[in-house]
Amino acid sequence: MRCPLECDAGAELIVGYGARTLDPDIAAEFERHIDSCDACCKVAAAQKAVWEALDDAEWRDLPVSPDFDRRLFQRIHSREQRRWWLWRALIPLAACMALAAVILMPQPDRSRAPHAQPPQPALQIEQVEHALDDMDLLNQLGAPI
Amino acid sequence: MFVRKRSVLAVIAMALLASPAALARRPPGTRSERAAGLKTPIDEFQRMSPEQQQRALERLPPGQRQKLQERLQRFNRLPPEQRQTLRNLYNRLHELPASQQESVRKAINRFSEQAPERQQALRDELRSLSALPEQDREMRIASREFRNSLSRREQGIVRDMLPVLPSH
Repeated sequence: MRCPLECDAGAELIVGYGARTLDPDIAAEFERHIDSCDACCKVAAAQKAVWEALDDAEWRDLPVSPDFDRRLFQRIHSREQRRWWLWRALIPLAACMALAAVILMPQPDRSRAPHAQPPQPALQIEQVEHALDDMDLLNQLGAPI
Repeated sequence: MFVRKRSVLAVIAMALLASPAALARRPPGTRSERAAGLKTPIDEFQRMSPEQQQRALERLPPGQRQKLQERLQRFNRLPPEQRQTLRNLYNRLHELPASQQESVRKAINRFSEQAPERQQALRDELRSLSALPEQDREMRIASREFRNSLSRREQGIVRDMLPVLPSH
């Protein structure tokens, strides 16, 4: 038999051996293999120890509340609900804070900058001249139309 | 529940938008001034602080600066009604595409070349057209009376001036 630890299906075979769910022929073949393979022998021993612990009578005698499942799922559900409400409250709050930060953010005082240039008026004086040209032209009509 | 939360958020957002810091960044008094038609570059210049006006004027050579100041004083000496009429005409002119603005300017120049009594006839016609709803103006221009009272050149002046007449 090829060593199960060297192939992909090996873990499944060893777990199946521990759980005693293997086909008897395969289980016998694996037992023959572990006689000559230290690595498989150790893994199989560990698996066996786990299954023996699970088979222990103490586990089976532990009292289980009849509504254990219902209470478990209720707790899982209520925790999920709590998380959802937390997000619902936090998202709008974060949006408002971001909005407030943008609006209330102080503008840099450019007049105090070390090499600040005097601010240029947005209106160009040539625009005033052109407007006066147009006003003079329109005034030639001399009538309120 | 959701609706109430949204309303609260909307109120918060509006309060923040109306905060003094936000208001300070808006251009001053634009709505009322637009309503009054005070939005020409001349009005904008006159709303500037004396320091800003001085800075703007400094860009011109001294002779040109002096001339501009005299023209501004002349404009300010006009009666308020006439100033407002000119503002209205100016604003309507500047709402037109550039090519149409140029046609209006040329039409006014042709108007100025007319004899004084013909200028008066043109003024009367333009005033009558201003009072009409826009759809009736075309009918008036197509009328026999219009064609008989004005020369072809004068008719052209009136047609080119139509876009600056007030709309009803």
